[in-house]
Amino acid sequence: MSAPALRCESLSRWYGEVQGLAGLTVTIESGIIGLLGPNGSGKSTLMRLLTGQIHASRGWVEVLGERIIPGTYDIFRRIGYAPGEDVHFESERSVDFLKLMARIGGDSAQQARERADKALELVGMASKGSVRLNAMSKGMRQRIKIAQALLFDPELLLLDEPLNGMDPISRRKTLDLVRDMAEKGNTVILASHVLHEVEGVTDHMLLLHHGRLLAEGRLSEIRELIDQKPRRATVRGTELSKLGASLLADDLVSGLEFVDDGCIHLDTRNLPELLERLQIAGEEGLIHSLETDDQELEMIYDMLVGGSAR
Amino acid sequence: MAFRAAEYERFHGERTSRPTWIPIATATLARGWASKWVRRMSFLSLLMGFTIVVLLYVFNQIAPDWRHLVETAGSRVSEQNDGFRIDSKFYLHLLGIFVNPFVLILSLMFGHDLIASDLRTNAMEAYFSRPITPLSYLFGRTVAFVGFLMLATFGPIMLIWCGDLLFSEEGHIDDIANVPLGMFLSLLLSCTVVALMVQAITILTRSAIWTNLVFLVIFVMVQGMGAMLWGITDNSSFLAISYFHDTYVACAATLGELDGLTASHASAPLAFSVLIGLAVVSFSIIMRGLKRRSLLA
Repeated sequence: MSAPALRCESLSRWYGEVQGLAGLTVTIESGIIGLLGPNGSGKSTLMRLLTGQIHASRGWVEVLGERIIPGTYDIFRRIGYAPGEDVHFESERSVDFLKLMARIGGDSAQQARERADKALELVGMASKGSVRLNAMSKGMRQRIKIAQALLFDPELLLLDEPLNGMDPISRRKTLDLVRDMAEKGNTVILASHVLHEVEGVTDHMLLLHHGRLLAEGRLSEIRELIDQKPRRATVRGTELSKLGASLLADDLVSGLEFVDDGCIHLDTRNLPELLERLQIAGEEGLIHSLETDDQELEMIYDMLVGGSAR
Repeated sequence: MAFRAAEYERFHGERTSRPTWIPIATATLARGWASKWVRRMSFLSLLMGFTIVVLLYVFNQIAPDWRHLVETAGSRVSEQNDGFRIDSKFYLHLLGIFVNPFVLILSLMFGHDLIASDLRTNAMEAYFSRPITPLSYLFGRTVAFVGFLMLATFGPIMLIWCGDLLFSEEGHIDDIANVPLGMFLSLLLSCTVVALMVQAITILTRSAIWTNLVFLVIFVMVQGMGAMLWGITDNSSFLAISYFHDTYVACAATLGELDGLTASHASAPLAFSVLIGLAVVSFSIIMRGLKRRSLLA
């Protein structure tokens, strides 16, 4: 039986007096795991502990059966890590960056070139190899970061806020890639502060808050709770009063507020069905734009810690 | 934007366990060479060396026994005619042309941003998620940095040495045989010290501009301070706080020219101690900084 992808016991890290992670005890076998939490909740600290960038103040962590201690380096051959921070040299071409990372990982120059090209192709950047990183958009650099994490077919892939700055198509393709990797037996830990990003690829999540593990388990259980809570959609378009009346009549909204002639706020306890109806209205040309609040994570925190989370 | 359908494939290549400092050094060399001013300064120093070789050739063509004539003229001017002979002491004087200016300029242009930029751009977080140790990282960076410094200092001196040997009479080799190894060892030490010092400053300041300013102030200040303290106390040991002075003394020691050093020089053990001490302190600062980089970030 193979070792769990990740096992930690009372894992804690302080930055001086600031608590980065406190007493995390968790075991992750395999698959895709969503690591959720708002900024400062300890996601990046955990990622850095897993990749040996920093060391635990207390407790221990095992990655793929090997304890991460100062001086551990070989295990990093089996891990791919895309840091949350923007990583780039100021004037280096993306293919050079990938080649360098491949060579540090143990490739010859020729192998590194091939591997870099392949990784670029994998993230849809095959034609951008000669573009300098400082000339790329943040979304493109995100993809380069993911490409470098994928270089060596890592058994454990750690992605820290990988979708930040990406356009919707890149997001979808990146999530496809993550799903694809997990299907082939690799483990992926996907850190994010946006619930629906993670929800798209996994139901298994770890929820961190102020450095502590707030919840672990299936997202669907919490999702059911969220769906009971009122949500708000902001719609811009024409004939909104007629639309609002129709939604009220069908009991799809619990409240509505006209901001001005072309904008309306809709409060609902059944967001998925409301969105379906609005999509139909959009196809009829009545809706110009639609926004929904992205406060699901905050809601979860409110539910779990009684409103003191934010 | 064209986005290929993402499909993950397992990689079935072989991975070696070759030293990880090599790609870091290669990348650093490429990064340095990409700077046109670094290239210009390197070429300039080599060009200056080449010019001296051409002059040696011209002298040889005009007056084949010019070495003897110059030596005789020197002995008539002064009893101490060492300055008029091309021997290992002559190469010591070349330090003023090649080491002092070029080490300073290249350090300011190339070394100031090596680690600072890696910290600033978070490249280290990517590096250290790979199987590379802080020591390998530092070694790779330092090897490349020292390589550039050696190219601009040892390179032209060796060019001149080859020209000198080529255009000299038989037996001249005995006078200058110790130059390549002696110069190489002493310049390697002194270039390594500078490389580590600059990187230590850069890891403390995390800024290219501040690194340059601090480096410049330290170099200018200690030069002046050393001379000032020597003047006040009449103790030449104070001169050892100057990097350039220590480099000169170290080169004199490795070339076997310590007898030529006067009371206006620090002792060789002291010069070596200062250079090695600077290297050790700088190394410790860098390693501590690399290990604590996440706290610094």
